[in-house]
Amino acid sequence: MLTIRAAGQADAPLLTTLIHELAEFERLAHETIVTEEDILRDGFGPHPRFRALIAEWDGQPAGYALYFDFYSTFQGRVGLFLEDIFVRPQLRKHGIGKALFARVAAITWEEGYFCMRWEVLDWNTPAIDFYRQLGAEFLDDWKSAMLIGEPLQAVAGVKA
Amino acid sequence: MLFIRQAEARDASLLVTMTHEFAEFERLPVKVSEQDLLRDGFGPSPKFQMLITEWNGDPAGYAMYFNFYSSFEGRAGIYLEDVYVRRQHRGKGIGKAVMVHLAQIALKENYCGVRWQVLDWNTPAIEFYRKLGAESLDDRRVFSLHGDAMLRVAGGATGR
Repeated sequence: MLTIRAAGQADAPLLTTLIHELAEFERLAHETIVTEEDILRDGFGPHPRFRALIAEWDGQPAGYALYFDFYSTFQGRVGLFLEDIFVRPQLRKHGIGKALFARVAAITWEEGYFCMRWEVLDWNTPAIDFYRQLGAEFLDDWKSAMLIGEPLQAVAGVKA
Repeated sequence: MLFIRQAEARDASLLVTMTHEFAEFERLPVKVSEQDLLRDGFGPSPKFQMLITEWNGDPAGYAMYFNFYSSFEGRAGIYLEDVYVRRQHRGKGIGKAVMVHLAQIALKENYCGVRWQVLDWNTPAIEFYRKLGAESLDDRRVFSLHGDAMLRVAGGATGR
């Protein structure tokens, strides 16, 4: 049986493990350096930077979702940005991803966010099909970019 | 001469004007009001921060950003939602100065980086970001769920 609950401080080790599992699935393990201390400090301190849900299947940790607020200047409203959603490979096909996603959509609605937004890797066809079936709008003309590491220091005018 | 400053409540009307100009440039719908920005940006728990750029005292553009969280890095970062320079002030290096300013904030605050999105037809902007050394997250697709589709998905979680 499936249960979905808000993650608490005691889940920091589990959450860290699940994040590393997602990174491996997304082939980004080499860039993933998050530690339990990071999660404790940033998720469960006085000013949390994110919130997370844990999904359990028959009492066993099955996956998680991690999200935070974003803001749309054009809408003049706060939205929910879903950064991660993950179901462990051995527990797929139980509808856990869909239920987790639906819970995040319910939070979006109940807490008055105007929309939920997320990104998906373009080679992850099953995920893209899944989101399409849910009625999500595909923002085809947007590209994501990031300034990180040495280029970030270069732009800031700091020597690497 | 260029001056970059943090926006304040008294800038709300100017910010709404520039937000509308920017939306027109991006060919996107906009409905933000002064009240929205005052409530969400300049109240007790601001949802975003804004910078105003001035050229010889004349408002030349703005930038709006908030924090995102990188679960893989275990650190917060800057999500640059809007960066806009008014037509008559382009070609003066104002956009670049804003990116430098944000990169400096990111390093000072120990953020993991600066992240943003760009419309794929906006070639000058894409070129500009490439020259800064930004990594184009080409394998990412962006999704959004709102309105009826969001309600439908949310209903799956709550039985409504």
